[in-house]
Amino acid sequence: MAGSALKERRGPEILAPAGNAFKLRTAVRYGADAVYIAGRSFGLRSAADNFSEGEIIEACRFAHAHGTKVYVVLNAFMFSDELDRLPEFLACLETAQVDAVIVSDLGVVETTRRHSRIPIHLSTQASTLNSRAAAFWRELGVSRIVLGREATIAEAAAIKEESGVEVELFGHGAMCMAFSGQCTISNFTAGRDSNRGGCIQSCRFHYQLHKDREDTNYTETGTILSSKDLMSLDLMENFVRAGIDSLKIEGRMKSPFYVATTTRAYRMARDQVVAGKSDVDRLFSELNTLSRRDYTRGNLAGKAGADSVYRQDRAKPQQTHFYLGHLLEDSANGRVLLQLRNGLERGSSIEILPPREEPVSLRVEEIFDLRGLPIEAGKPNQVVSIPCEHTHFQREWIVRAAHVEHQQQFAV
Amino acid sequence: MLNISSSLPFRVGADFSARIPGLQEVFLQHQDTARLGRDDDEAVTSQATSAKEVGLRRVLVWDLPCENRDITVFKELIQRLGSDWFDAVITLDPGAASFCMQNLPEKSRYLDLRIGNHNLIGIQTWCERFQPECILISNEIPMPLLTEMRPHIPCRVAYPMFGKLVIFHSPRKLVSPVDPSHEDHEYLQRYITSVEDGKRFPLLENKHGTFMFYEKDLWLLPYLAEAEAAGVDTAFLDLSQFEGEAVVRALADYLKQPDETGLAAVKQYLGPRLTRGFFKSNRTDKQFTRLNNEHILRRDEMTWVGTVLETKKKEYIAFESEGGFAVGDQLEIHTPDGKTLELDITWIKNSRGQKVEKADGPGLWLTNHTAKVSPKSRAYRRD
Repeated sequence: MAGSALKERRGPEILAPAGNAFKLRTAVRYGADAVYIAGRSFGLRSAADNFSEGEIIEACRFAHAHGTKVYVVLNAFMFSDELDRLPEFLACLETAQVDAVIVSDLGVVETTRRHSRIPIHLSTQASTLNSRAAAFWRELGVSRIVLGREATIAEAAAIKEESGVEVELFGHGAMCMAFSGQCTISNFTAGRDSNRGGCIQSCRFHYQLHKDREDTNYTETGTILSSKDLMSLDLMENFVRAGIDSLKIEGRMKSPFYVATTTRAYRMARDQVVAGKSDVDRLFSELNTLSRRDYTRGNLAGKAGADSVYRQDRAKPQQTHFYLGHLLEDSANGRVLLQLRNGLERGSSIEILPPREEPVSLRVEEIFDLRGLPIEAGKPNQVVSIPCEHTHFQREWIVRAAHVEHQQQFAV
Repeated sequence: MLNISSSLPFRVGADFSARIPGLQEVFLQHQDTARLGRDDDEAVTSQATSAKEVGLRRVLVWDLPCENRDITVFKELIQRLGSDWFDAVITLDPGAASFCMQNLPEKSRYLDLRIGNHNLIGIQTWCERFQPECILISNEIPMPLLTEMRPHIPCRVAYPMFGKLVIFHSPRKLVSPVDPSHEDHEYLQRYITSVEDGKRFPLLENKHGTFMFYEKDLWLLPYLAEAEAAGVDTAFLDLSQFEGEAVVRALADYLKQPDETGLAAVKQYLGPRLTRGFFKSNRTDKQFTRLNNEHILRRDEMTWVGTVLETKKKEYIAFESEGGFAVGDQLEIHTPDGKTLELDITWIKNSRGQKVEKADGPGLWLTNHTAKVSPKSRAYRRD
């Protein structure tokens, strides 16, 4: 397809995770077309802060004001008594004007359909991988399917064409090794339902391999069941060509730094491809700023092989940066006000991450505490101000710093 | 007595399996359609023939999470072997069920609902859409819950009561890349021990990927009467991971005369530890929530002001706030460790240290200090 034809396509929606209100605002500011959040019940990430009903209403107001959609996950496998409580929550979601709910359980699909007009997206937990299944779900009122992570981009395009339903694919982040929704290790070994927010991540454990049950000899396999992290920045053109409706970034539990960096990189990549140009190498280096496992394309460009297994006994990839904090106010009068998440020493360099421009480096010549007194170093969680001549930095922009071994590369 | 369905042990004829008292039907596991299947065309049709000869119904297992190509593979199987050799098909995937409904309307439909499907509305909707003759439900539905649901389920209900429990299925091959001694890439049986907790799990790799089984085998045969009373119509015995006739003989003897001797005879074919699964109660029926600190979750019933970022004893409290509070207001502060404190606002400063009467917008605001307030505390205005 020629570049001009690509320009005629919008490319996939960039769908970002938002584990709490600040992460939601971060995702919106850094370019998400849509965000997914959870209420205090019915989702799979119980350890995330999640949103009260009041916060969901505010989240929708904020996101919609910026042209961003809000999807609410209801993807736990539910028991009957929980379904009894669901209509009340659905009414709240309708009041908030959420744009869709993400559901995996047929009982939840049916209850949502009966009690609301909210569009229904089918979760990846349902492991939908064929056109007939997609058509089945469409007939039940599902408007979009988050396909199983086992689908290739080409298969997703075929399913979309044959079933007439919108398709969404995970494009970035940690991924289950098992078919999503088909893993019950936590249920049986720990009494915590992995499909109800209790996953203990047994697939990340280290294992030894034996020939039989009583065998005392073993092969040290390391993290034999653990998957590398998904990364598809260099496949953006394939997403655009295939007409995939949405590219989802995993990680409601991850930091605002992760949300900002991934959302910004994928948004830029999508916009560049649609505009007929692309600088994937530059954007890829942005993703390397994050803490992560090795990257894999997963199944997106072809079925995942042995090289998609994350062997933790190998050298861990070195993240180049760490999360320093965020701006508490717009920069003005020659300074920025910063809430620190990690320590900051006088003389070090930091980078402000604007949503749509290159990162801006600053040398920290002086640090002041909230009383205006000069200090040598700021501690994690402390609020500090530092002199800065830039006046266009905005509240809640993310600030990062390079690890020592990478400082030369990113020196001011 | 409860009817019994069973998959077949490897290399054991359906006619021999008919010794199991109450056995009504056998599950045929072709290697192309059943995720744990080992039988090829010849073996599966031979099993089907012998099952018919001894009066057993034959249920073809198609329990893969299907890609489009898996549906093509199933079509080719039917084109190759016809469809006279089985009476019903059990499917896991709605696409597979839909295919059977459309293309094999004369065959009975069974649905494999062993993962999830814990609520009545969902089960009823599956039944309404596919009109199955039988559903195989989750062991995570305990008997008390099934007793409540059963009168409202419009088809036969089968319940897993014996065998190995699949707890993990990945389409990726995970054993062969790390096993230096493997000879057969098509079917690898191994065990893995978790370094973290010392548990040892059976592991299997075949053409459909990698499967992990629970370290304890499901053992509910002493509870057949209890299951029947709760409304189970059919006990499903999964023998597919066993090999040879001895396990069938031991099971048959036990079911004819359930006693300690019979139990010991069966147990030698099972793992060292047995489980009832969730038959009696389900510990996972409550969502896992204890990682959240409820004290710092925002409360909608109060007027939200902001979050405490920093405090300096006897000097200030710094709030990140959208504003909306003024000198003279009384704030209620909820600390992370569960205390509820009051703060009468006597002064407010902006982030530049300038005194103001009102926090009138988003940003950082400093107020007078009060004891015991810590960062991450949540502040609400008392109206």
